Amino acid sequence: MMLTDDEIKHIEKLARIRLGDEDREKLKGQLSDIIEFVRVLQKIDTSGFETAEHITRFKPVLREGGAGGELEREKVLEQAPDRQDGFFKVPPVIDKK
Amino acid sequence: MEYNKKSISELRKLYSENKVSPSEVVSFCLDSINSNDSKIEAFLKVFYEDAMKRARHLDGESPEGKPLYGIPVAVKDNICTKGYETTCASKILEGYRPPYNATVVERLLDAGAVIIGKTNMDEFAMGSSTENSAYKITKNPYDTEYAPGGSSGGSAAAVAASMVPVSLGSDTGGSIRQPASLCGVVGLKGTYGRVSRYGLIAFASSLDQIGPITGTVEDSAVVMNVISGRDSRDATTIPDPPGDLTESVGKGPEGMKIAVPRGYEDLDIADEIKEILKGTIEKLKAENASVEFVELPDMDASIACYYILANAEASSNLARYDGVKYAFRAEAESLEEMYERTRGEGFGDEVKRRVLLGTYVLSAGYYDAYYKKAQQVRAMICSKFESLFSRYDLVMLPTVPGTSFRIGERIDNPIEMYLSDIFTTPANIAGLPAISLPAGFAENGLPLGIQLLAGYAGEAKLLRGAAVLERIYGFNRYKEE
Repeated sequence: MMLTDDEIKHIEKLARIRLGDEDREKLKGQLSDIIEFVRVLQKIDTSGFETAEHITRFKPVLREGGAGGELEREKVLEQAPDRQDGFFKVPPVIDKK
Repeated sequence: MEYNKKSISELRKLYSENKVSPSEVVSFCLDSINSNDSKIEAFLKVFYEDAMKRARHLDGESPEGKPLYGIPVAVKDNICTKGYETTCASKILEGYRPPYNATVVERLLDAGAVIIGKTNMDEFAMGSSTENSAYKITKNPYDTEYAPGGSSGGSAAAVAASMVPVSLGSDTGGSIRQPASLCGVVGLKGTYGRVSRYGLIAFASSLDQIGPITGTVEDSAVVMNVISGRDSRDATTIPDPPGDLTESVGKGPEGMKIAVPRGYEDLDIADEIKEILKGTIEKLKAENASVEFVELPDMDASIACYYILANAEASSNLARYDGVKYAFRAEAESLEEMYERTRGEGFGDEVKRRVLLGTYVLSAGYYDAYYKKAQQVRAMICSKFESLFSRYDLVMLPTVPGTSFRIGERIDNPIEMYLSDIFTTPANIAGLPAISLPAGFAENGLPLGIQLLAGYAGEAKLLRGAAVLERIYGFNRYKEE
């Protein structure tokens, strides 16, 4: 199975990763090989098995609700590439055109 | 006396007898890093000043009640250290200083440990050779032309090169055990939920576990005692404590039921490993353990299942690196373009491969065929192991099919690299505890490892068995020359 150019561009778009043309060509081949490799699962008979949503063996335990242990807003924002007035700052979201 | 060449247990004894101070031990380790790490490149950051400061502070305190008093620890760079750069060896997190400590780091500090620095790894723990680091290539201390394994390659190499007696790694598909095997040290991954993942930068949340890499089985028990246990910040942590694991060390194997894969002689593994398995089986029987040959869950299915689930989870977990919240951002005119360029430029090749694969298997039209199918296979593997461990205490198998490989040899062949994990992924898929320990050397002088698996929450049995094998192999990196 070989991914087409359109397919890999679609996955790039979904993953919000822009590839260069050279990278795309290389990854296309490698991803196709990996997909072929994991297709071995299709042949396995899993009838009678539900999906394993989680693998913990105990009943989920919730802690008491309550305030405490929060991170300081400034300390968190300090790590961002750009910020203003206590918020993250990003490039324009709505296209002016 | 070279204190960097002492086990945790030996150092604990020396501290309790007041024969050495934390600052002496820490300065030996820092000297060892200073003189060897330009060659090995195990560390991304070394806290020369702050580690000495902490050690001097501990000099004035008593070791009483602190199981890791004055013990130097190296921490993999995907574990958050408050105020110290934590990059996952990725360009996208370059300069990121978390405003909090991982729970394991808090527990180490409470136990009196000294954090020495952050170790190199495959970017976001994706890889089996540490070659996927955006910063440097770590070398195997036994032969610097060979890879240390991965993804916790820096952590394994740091212990193998006697720079620290212990490091923390993380294991999603074998990332503690595989490098431990290739570097001749002990690597332990607990039951899923045994150690809190709070502050471990997520790769695949249903598989990730933090664990210790040490020189001896006893040391891994000491460290596991400290880092394991319920954490209110990680709802998947197991409520019941594992008990004192050091009590498992030193018991014989009498009465233990050990399973070995049927037909292991025909597996595609090094002849030396077959010899080791054969010899171990005989010795275990001589010490009144029972050894039987069994059918293990399908390893090929396990690894395919692993690469679907791990990458699906990764594609979701790594969505947070969008150029808004942390460190790196590529300049762009619009938000959409900023996301795409930040991720295109900030992630390395392997991370892009995996996020794209994970996105593909979760996308409309493919979800049922890949992701859902893999979840069913996971349920099947879990149930097979459950039945196996209702009859046996331990499963013994190789950690990796052979010794290490040359740096550069597998980097352009992702599937060949993935196959290094063939014997390690089942423990993650089923959430079971597993340990790798050094079993000898191959003809080329590189270490070989043997792996044990136990049933759910079976760490005590696991360490009992591992300590027996350690004695049988007679491998002790700390013995006096």
